[in-house]
Amino acid sequence: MKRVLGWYAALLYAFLHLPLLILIAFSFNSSRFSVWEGFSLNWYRAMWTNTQMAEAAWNSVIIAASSSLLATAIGTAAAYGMWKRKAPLLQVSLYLTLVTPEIVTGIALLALFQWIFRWMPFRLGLGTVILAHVAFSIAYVAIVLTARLRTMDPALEEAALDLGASEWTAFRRVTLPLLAPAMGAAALLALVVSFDDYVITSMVAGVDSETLPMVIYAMARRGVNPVLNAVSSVMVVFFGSLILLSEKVRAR
Amino acid sequence: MLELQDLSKVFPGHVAVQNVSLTLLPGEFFSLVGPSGCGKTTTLRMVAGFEHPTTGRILLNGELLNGRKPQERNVSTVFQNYALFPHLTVSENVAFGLRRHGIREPGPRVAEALRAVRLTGKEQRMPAQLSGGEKQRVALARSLVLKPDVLLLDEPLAALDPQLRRQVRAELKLLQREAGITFLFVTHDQEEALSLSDRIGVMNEGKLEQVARPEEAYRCPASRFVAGFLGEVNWIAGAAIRPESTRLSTLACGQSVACRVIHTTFLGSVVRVEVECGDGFASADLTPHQPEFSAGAMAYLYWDPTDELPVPA
Amino acid sequence: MTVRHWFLLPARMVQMLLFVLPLGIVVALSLLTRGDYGGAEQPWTTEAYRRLFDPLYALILWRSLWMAALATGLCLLLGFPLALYISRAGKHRGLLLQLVILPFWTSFLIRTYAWLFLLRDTGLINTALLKVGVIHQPLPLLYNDGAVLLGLVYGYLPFMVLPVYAALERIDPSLAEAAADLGAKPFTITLRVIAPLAGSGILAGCLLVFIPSLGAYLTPDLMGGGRTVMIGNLVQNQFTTARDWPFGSTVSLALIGITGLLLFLFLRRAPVDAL
Repeated sequence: MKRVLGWYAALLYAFLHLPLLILIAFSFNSSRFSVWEGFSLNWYRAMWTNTQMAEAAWNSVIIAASSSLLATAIGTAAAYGMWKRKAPLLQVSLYLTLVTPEIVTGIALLALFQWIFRWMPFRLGLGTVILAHVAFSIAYVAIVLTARLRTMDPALEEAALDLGASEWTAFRRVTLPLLAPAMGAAALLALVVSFDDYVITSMVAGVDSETLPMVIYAMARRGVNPVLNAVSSVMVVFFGSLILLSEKVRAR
Repeated sequence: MLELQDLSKVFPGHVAVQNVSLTLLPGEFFSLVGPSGCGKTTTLRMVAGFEHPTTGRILLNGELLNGRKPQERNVSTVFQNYALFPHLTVSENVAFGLRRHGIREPGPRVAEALRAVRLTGKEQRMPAQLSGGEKQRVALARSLVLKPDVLLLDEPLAALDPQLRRQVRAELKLLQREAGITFLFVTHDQEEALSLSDRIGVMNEGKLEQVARPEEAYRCPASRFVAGFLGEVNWIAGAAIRPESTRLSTLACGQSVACRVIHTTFLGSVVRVEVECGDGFASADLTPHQPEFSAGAMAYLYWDPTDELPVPA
Repeated sequence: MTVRHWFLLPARMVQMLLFVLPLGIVVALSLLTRGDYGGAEQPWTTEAYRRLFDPLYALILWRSLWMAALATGLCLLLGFPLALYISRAGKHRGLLLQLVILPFWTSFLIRTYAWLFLLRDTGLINTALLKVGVIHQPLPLLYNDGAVLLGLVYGYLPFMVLPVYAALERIDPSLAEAAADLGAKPFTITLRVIAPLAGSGILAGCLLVFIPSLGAYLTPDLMGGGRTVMIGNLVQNQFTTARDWPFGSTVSLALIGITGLLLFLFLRRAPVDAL
């Protein structure tokens, strides 16, 4: 039976990975049809010179970096607070954030912002997107950090207090350095989740704060465009390597 | 001088410590000993400041410790699993407390502390690279370097293997003598407590049953529990006798009790003979030079009345 | 202990302002009336809730539940053997798991686009089949329920494999050996011994697939081409094109309600401390 399973597994892995591999392969196709007509870097050149895409990519980077940093800080603090003593309401609330469908989170935030804009002179833009991303990323960070804290010996902080440290110093000099690797992993997770988000972002982004996924979506909607293959390949390779690298660092 | 006055700690559904009163003399090695769950660790943690007493007071050199945070008390704890900071080197671990107290150049004192625990040369090692015994010494150095009024030790030898434990015991005793610091030592191992301490306190189910010098507690236990905890006891004919004071003879004489031999075990320094007499069992620890008893044979058990433990009923 | 309160404060504030408050607004919106130019305004009414029971929308709800259930079932059928294989793979387990998780790190959008590239009328599959002569007209592989289902299964399969694997991992191998010793054939062992013991993992996996599938928006939108309307699309539609915020809100609340109910039932049966 193991052999049958083995073949089955191979098939399933092919199912999982082939579509992407084919996508990447055809980004090097010189024609825009699904027939291979020769190797070419045309589409990469087109992608490179596409200003709309470049701006969107830059927006995505800014949003991902800021929201990841904020979410990591807030999420780590929350996980730490909950580790010291249970905070059931917060825990449930964070859990709910994860299970709420993205479309609902999106419209709820849109409703919030529209309501706020009645009293305050703000518009939908990078700021609202960053806020939205922070909102849903905190739960991811909290999960990663909570898992890590579960293996943390509480005696370490007690020892620090015993030796004369204040609660803050005990956290800063003992717990925080030990949490650093987990924080890195969480930040990376938040980064990727933010960069890839389409649904929520599309609801709360303004006219001049397009993100890369929004551009990709619009192009995909219109039909198949090999430039998309090129963008996809770049993103897959970039984030794929980032993840593999972080795994290597963690294993060390 | 550490004083515990009528200390109690009540958790929901469970009284961990009941009315414990104790005075530690300066420079003494005091052990709190008792079975798991007897409240000894909770008492220790109350002195350290990690638990708040429900009632009672803790006084150090006349000052009230209740309500003071752990970092504000001049007591230091050696934790059961040492709690060494894994991301700091040995010398940084030892220097940690000094830095928190504002000492900018901890070098000399760290070196001195490491010398006292014989770990000179291992300053740059990380805790993960140390053996169990070495980790324990770093934990000791880290606490002792602060020259606390009382050093609290929470079963520090429990994580070591038996061989190492004996060796470390001797070193610990020596260290305490040299440092002259009061040690409050918590353990469940009565042999450890008896061999190390100037005085011991035997706890059971939250209550302190006896505080005395080891020899005194062993020979004149204040209760049946203390008698049974500190060593083995034969309860025969209403008297309590230790196996080493129990004698066997092939002849009946005077007050001896008739028994039947069940089993003999050679333990090296003694031969343990287990017998059944009437309503109960007993063991006698005989030196190998005494006559041998075989299983099933009749024997007569007797003892010197002065060896009886004066345990209250 | 006050330190702890400061640590929890930012998260609490974010949750209040960016989760609880927005949901509160949605509830408020659900009780208002659609404005002439869209949006929502007084008077207060439960009209939007009544419309939920309109057979047209009931159909959409039913369809979404059915699609989500199918996707879950397929993921279970496909994912369980894979999880089984990985759990028996010895030292390669880590690598094999990584290979399952890797696609997850790629944007969901891109992965969906990959299927668009393959399945469209001028896509790879149709082009190849046409060339070989198996068909003479491109097959309509996209823009139907089947395509949406494919997209859902493809997207959420890892969410089934991981918890099932975790549960399988924890099963004592000697149980299978004992069963074999008593005469059971491998397939029987899997069905009657292993699968029941992996129950909690299977349940978790089903939940992790069903819930996002129910609220899916991107997959039915791109792979269904506007023809397959699931609840997620309905919500988006009401808030943008139809500009009927009250109704969009009630549908959203209905969606959250169903999701919440499922979760509640799950957590009662298997209190897994996932967070």
